[in-house]
Amino acid sequence: METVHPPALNPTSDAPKVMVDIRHMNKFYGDFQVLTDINLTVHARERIVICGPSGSGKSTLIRCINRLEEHQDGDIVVDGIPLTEDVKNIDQIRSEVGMCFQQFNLFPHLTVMENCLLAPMSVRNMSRSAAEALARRYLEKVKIPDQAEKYPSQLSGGQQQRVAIARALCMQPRIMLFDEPTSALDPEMINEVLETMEELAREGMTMICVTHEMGFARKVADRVVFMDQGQIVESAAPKTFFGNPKNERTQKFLQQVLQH
Amino acid sequence: MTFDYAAIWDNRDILINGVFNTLLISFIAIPIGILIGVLICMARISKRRLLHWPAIAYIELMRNIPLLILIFMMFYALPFYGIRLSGLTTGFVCLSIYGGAYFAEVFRGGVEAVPKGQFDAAKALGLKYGFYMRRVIFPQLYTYVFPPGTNIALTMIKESSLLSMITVAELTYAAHDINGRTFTPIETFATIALIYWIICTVFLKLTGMLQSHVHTDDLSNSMAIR
Amino acid sequence: MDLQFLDIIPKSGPLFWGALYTLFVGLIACGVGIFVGTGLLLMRNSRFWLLRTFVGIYGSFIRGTPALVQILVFYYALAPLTGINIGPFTAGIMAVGFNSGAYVAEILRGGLSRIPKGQWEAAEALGLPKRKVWFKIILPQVFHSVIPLLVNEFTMVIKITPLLSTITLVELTRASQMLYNETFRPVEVLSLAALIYFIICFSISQFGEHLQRRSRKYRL
Ligand SMILES: Nc1ncnc2c1ncn2[C@@H]1O[C@H](COP(=O)(O)OP(=O)(O)OP(=O)(O)O)[C@@H](O)[C@H]1O
Ligand SMILES: [Mg+2]
Repeated sequence: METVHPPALNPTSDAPKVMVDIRHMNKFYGDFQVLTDINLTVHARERIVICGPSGSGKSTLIRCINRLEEHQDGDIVVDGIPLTEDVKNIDQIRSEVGMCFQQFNLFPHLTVMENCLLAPMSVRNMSRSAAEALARRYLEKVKIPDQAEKYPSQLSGGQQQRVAIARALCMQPRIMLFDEPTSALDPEMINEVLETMEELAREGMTMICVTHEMGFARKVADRVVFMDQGQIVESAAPKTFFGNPKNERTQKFLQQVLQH
Repeated sequence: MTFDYAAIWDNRDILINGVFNTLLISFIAIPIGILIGVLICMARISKRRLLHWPAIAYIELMRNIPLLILIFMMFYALPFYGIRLSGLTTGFVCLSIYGGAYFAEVFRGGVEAVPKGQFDAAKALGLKYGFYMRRVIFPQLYTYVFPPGTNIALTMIKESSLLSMITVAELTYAAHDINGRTFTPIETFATIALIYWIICTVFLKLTGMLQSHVHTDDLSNSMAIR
Repeated sequence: MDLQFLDIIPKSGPLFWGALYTLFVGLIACGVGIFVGTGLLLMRNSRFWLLRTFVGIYGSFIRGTPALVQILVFYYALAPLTGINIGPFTAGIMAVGFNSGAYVAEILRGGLSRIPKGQWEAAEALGLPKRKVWFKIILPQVFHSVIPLLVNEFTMVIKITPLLSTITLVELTRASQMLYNETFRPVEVLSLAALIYFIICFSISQFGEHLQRRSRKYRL
């Protein structure tokens, strides 16, 4: 049980630790280069928002961090663990990195509670009672404590996404990745998910979010990263990013996004 | 011309024995075939070459030679290697390894039909391959695999008739037997056709009931959300 | 026991002729199957419930009984019943073709269900008579979309032709039986036969998959 980390609720030291370090990373699909020379360093408690036009490689980038996609050159180090072919490292990184997807990807044949129990019990070898207590705590945090016995299909989209967040939190990850968590939701459900994410951010979770919610970026992000054609074009604090974007492509993108 | 009921009725013991053997062979070979199918499917979708390629070879071999040739090889060729199987054993073995290859393809189709996000989520949670296949992917296969799987099983029941050619006393052999005694081909073959039809229809009804009893709507609904 | 393929191969001429015969029978049976299948499809969509019911019963009989039994019924039962003396060749081809027909009908039904309703409406709006609509507009599209599946059905037919050996047709399986009874070398002879079947079926099914992949590329 010594691998159970408390979520980054209470920072113990002021020196910010490097949680994700990506250096000169390239990724190809066959001949097609999806990501070109990516450099990104994320410190503990930092909140990064990644935005950019469709097909620019945002999903691919964050999926490389927990090895849902394999990168070809460069180095990725997550919480001090280098991401290599080594299955042990990959397993360890995956148990410390939580992820939420655009399509929720809840397991449809398991109840909400079972969805939350699966990983803590099998990966962390938790007892059922301990895992259940944990799951209840996180389900409460995402404000759906009373739906635990339902199946995912019986919940609304917003509720499903909050369950997905709770499921990821049950592994007590040190880093959370979000890939457009609100894009598949009806407008009235977007806020409930964003609020959950904001609360998580307030508590000091290290977060990397791909999202088009510029309001969220302004309010929560420490840094906004803009990607285009597989490259990181600009990376700045939200104030500078929105107020005074340097790159021409960023300006164009912001014009389009902020128009409505 | 008249239908000679007596020829059938007087030899009903042979027919009943035939029906019994046909059912016995089918209901042993089908579960074994399913088991083989699962194992071969796991090997087929594995990334390890030593599992992947032999599985493909096995599947393609079984799917591209007629069952009768396989049966003859087992029955007439194996004794040259000192392995002498009874007709009935040959029947079980051939039907299950033949059906196994088809089941393997059905299961693979199912695994491919499970949305990719399910694999992503399982991996992102840090679940291990064997564990998430068992607990996350396979339980979801049911909806995709049941209808084609039923078809394979049905085919296996019917294909068991080929075992009459290596003198296994199943239903078709029983018909040859009765015909040989009474020279009433029309009556005997029409009768066994009817019996096969009843077996298959009952089998389809039963599996149909099984399928609608399991509440698949939860599964299909949540699939529709994507 | 040691394998003596080198001794058998020079004597394997009958296997070659058997294989050709298998292909020949398979092709004709497949033709019958497509003809029957098309007929069943039209009857299924006919105005007369009697025809529609017939199609249901026919499909149920074919799917619910072994092909071997169908062949035996055809060979032993149908000829005396109808008084026409059809030989084993005709009986065999008819039995396999009628069997295949039920499956072809299913394939065509799948293809038909994917033809947009607008095609019917457009054809009828042009004032074409029903028969023209079917044969000039609908069926060509249906057939075009199910060609890969029909190719696959051909391998299915090839795989049931060995059953014709029971009614004395000297196709590949029967030819190999005769050869190993003569040479007492079932291992080699049956392996060769299996290889020939494999080559035939595998190349046809690969061709079918090639067509399938291609048609998928063009369809959205
Ligand atoms: N499996 C794949 N094979 C080949 N190319 C791929 C594959 N997956 C993604 N791509 C390509 O990689 C590029 C980046 O895709 P990615 O999904 O990362 O974009 P994105 O920025 O997340 O876009 P969106 O906002 O639409 O989600 C796209 O051009 C896409 O076509
Ligand atoms: Mg994306």
